[in-house]
Amino acid sequence: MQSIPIPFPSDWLTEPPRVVVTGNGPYAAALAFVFGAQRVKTEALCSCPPTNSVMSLPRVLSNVEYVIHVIGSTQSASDALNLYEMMWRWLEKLSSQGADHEVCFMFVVPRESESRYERAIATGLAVDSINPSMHGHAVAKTGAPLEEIIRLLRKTLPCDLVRLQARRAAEGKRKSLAQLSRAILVDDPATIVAAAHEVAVVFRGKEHDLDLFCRPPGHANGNRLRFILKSLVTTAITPDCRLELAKEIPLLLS
Amino acid sequence: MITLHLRDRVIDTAVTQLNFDTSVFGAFVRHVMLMHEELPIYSDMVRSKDIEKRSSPNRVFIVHTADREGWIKAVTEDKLQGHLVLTSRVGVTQRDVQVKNNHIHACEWRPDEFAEPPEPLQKWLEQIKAGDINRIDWSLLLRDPHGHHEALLALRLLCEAYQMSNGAESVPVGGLLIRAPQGLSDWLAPFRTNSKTVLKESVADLMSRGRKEAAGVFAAIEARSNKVDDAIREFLKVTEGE
Repeated sequence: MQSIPIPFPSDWLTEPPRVVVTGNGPYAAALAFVFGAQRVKTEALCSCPPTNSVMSLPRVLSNVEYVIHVIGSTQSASDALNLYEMMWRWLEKLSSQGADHEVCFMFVVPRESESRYERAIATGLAVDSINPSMHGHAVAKTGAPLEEIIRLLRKTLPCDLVRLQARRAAEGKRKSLAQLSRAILVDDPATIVAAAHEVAVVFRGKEHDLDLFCRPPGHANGNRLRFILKSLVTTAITPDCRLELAKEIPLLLS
Repeated sequence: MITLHLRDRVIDTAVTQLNFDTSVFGAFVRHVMLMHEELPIYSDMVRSKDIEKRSSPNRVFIVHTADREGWIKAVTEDKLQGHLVLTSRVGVTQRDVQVKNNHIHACEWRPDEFAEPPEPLQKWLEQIKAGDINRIDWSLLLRDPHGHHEALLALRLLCEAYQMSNGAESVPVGGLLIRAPQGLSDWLAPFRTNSKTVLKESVADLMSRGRKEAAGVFAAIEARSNKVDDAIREFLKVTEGE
C-alpha cells in the first residue's frame, strides 16, 4: 500500500513548534537553532498543505506563537509576501484555531535592502508602516544583533488572519483591483475602462507596487498587469478580449 | 541603446532602458560612460532580437530592463554568442536568471550602486575595462556568491546566543527561550548541507572575515578549554560592523 506523505516535517508530530523559522542557508538555520525553532525551507513552505485533502491533518501548528521569515538576498518584497501568505495557508490547515490563530510575524530582510523594501512589505500587509506593537509584524535586517531581534519579537503584538483580511478588504489599492476583477466579468466597456482608470489612479507613481498584489512570480505578473491596464485605458475592448481578460486577471492577482 | 566601443574592440557593451526611472539609470550610465572613450548613443529601444543580431563571442551586453523574464525567455536559444548582463532598478536576483545558458548573468547590484561601486563591483568593472572576455569573474556581479557573508552572520548569531546564556544550554529572555550551542556539532549544525558531515575547517573557511578567529572558536569548543569566552569575544570583535 502506498503511504500518503505528510505535508510537514515529521518532527512536528512529536514536538509541535512554538517558533517557526522559514528560509534557506546557514543564517536561517542558526536563527532556528537559537530560538529552538523548527525550520522550514522556502521550497517546502511553498508546497502548501493540500486544500482539498480527504484526510484530516494533525493540528501540529496549534502552539505556534512566532513565525520568523528569513528572506534571502535574492528575494524581493513580493517573494517575502508570498512566503507570508504560504505560512498563513499552513496555519489555516494545521492549527486548531485556523484563521483565528494569533501569531507574531517577523521578516528578517536582506541587510542591503533599502527602506522601500520595508515599505513594500507594509503595503502588502495593508498598513502605512510596519509597527510591531500595532499590527503584529516586525522587520529586522539580516545580521541584526540577537538582542535587537528578541526586543522586536517581544514588542510584536500577535495578529490573526481575520483581522489582516478585514484590513486588506478596506484598503484602497486592493479595493480598486477587486473592482476591476468584478468589472471585467460584465460586458460593459465603460465600466471596465472606469475600473482600470481607478486602478491607474490609485497606483499612480507606485506602479511597481502592483507586483505586491500579484501571484508569484510577482514581478512577471505585475508586468503583465501593468500592460493590461495600459491597454484597457488606451484601446477599445472587444468581446473576445474581455472574455480572455476575465480569465486572466484573476490568475494574475493574489 | 548605448553601445560602448573599447579601444581594443574586444568588448562592446550595450545598455538599454525600458520604462525606468531615468535618474537611477543615469547614475549607472554615467559610470559606464566615464570608463570609455567612444560612446555612440542610440535612443532606440533594444529588443532581444537586436542583441542576437549584434552578438559576437567577445561582446558583453548590459541590459537594464523591467522585463527580465521576457529577456531570459527570448535569449536562451543559443543565438546569443556573447554575454548578457541583466540589471534592474532593484537589482536582478540570481534566482531570477536561473537559466541553462551560462552566458546570461544576474547583476545583483542596483544601478545606483555603480556610482560608487562596492569592491566586488569595482573589480568587475575593471575586468570589463581590461577587455579580456576570458578573464571576467561573473560571480562578482553577485552580492555574496559563495555565502561567505551569510556564514559569518550565522556564526555571529551563535556567538551572541552563547554570550547571552553565559555558556549555559539555554536562557529565558522575556518569555523566549534562547538556546546556545554547546558541543562542536551544535556549532557546526547550521552549516551542514544535505545531512553531510561538516568540518570545522571548512566552516571557518566560509567566513568572509575572521577566519582565524572562527577557527579559534571551534578549537576552543573542541578542546573544552576555558578560552571559549575569549575566542568568541575575539571573533565578535573582528567581525563587528559586518
